[in-house]
Amino acid sequence: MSASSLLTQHLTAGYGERTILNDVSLTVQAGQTTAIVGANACGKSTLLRVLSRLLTPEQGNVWLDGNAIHKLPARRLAQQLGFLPQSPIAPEGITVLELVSRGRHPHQGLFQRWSAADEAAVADALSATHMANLADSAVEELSGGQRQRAWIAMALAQQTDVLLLDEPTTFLDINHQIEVLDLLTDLNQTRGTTIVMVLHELNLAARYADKLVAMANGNVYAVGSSEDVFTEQMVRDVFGLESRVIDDPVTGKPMMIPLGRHGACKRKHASTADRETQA
Amino acid sequence: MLTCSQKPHATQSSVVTAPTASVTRQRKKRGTRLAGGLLLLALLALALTLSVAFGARTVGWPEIAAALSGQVETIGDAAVASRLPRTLLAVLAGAALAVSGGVMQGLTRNPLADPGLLGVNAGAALAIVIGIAWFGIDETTTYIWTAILGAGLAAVAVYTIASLARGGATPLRLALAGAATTAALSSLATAVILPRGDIAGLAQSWLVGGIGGATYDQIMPVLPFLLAGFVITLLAARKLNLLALGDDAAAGLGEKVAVARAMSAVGAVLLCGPITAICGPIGFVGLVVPHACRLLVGGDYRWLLPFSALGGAVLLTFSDVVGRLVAHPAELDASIVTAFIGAPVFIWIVRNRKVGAL
Repeated sequence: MSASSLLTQHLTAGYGERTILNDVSLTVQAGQTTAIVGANACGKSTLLRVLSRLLTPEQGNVWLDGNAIHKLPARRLAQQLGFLPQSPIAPEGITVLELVSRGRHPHQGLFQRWSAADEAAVADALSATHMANLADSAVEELSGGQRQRAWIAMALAQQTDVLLLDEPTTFLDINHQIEVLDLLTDLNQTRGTTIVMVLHELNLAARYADKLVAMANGNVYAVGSSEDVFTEQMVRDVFGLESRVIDDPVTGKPMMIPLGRHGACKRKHASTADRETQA
Repeated sequence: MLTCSQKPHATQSSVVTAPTASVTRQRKKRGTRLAGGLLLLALLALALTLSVAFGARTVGWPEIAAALSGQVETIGDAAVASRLPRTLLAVLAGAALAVSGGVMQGLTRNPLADPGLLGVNAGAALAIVIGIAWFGIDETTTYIWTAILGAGLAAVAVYTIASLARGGATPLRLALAGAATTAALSSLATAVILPRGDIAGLAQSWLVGGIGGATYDQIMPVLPFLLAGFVITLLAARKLNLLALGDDAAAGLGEKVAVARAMSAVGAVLLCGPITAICGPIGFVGLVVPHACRLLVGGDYRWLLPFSALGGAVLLTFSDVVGRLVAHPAELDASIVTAFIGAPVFIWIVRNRKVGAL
């Protein structure tokens, strides 16, 4: 599977009268993991919706390997580009196997029967996400992390070169967040899948993404490796938050510690206590 | 793409168990479906027999045999012969309403959707009442077209109202718009009938809904519509499977959500509009049958819709027979019986199982 790149030029988009994205130009490198970060309502989810063709831009276009995605037939696009919405709905009683099987839809004709290729793709997606032993379970009975893995398995069965995910770790415990992000990294490394995701958690984004896209006010504030983009200045400009950015002792990537109004106060208490002990 | 064996997790047992588990599961599921299908077919055969054999006049086997072979000589033969078209209509109407209800539940992702809820039946009813009161319509074909027009207009109106707000026609907005439209259209229908004492009886008996007194002349004009409706809804079954995952996920899988909705809605209106035209509004079949069938075959619409067709035929045929027996020698309209049978079944389903997100 060859890696695919996504490109936008002078993209303007919004809902009705409300313009959200303003002249956004962005290149997503093939085979990389890109994380889009930014404050609430900065336009990061809107950008992902335009990239996945859920929203038609007012101006500009999105190019997938040189093809304008809004001109590709829906089914063909879905063979190349997968999209996982934020907290998707699983119909009641559906099993993991049934859900993952629906990922084969863009590869099936109207009267085409379930093929060996479909069967193989589903088995492969289940094993890659470690969901094979849960194939018969109802999706609603799974834990949050397992459920998200089931949805990712569905997107994998779609066998696309590009996978877009809208906040894949929202509502998950920290251990499940790591589990999902590790899985996505596996996919990126073993299959060369180009991954673009919106992430809320800055430190995790810096840790897992090859490239960070910081957005503010409907435009791209900065793009680059986390070392280049993730600075105290960026956190201040994009999130309006004072922070210290230090090296993550595990990965060496930048990580952010917010100051907050009470952070300094506690430190003073601590130093007072220190002095008392010394005395 | 790399194969399984090249991936770092290939040593895990999950790789080996995946196909086996899926095969076992598919076999088990196929068994349930086969058993369920046979059960429904057996019930349908029983319902058909009862529907031909029982009624206001008690008949014996010779008369039934005579009527079935087309020889109508005695009053008994004639009684049986008159039960044949109404049995056919019960089967067709039950199947059409149940499939229509299942499709509407899928396309609105609303477990309580049925032709009654989305304003479709009320639209058909108002159109027919207006037709009777102001235009003096009395032919079956005119009834059908009037009803389809009314049902279609109501469906478009409900969809438009629901789409006005930002974010489009979500299931919740569709249900609200449908309920509001139903209330408004029903009031309008009453307002049209009230000042017209001359047609009140006719309109009233039609509004109750029933399948008694059906003739082949009435049924024939409906058949092309029903055929088109069944074909379209079955072709839309896979689209409904995707819509069930939510609009965004469906679009991500390459489905044109608006096209899928429109196609399913046209199919559903083609099924319930003509039936409402000749039977009047019959409730609960479209609501209860698809839910009961979900317990049997799960949520896959490719299976759910054909099973709902069978189940709907069984329910309405039985209801018609029961209606003939309980008020013997008079008759109770089938729609009243479906309400009596349907309501408890529905309550049972709701209590035994979360009728949650579809």
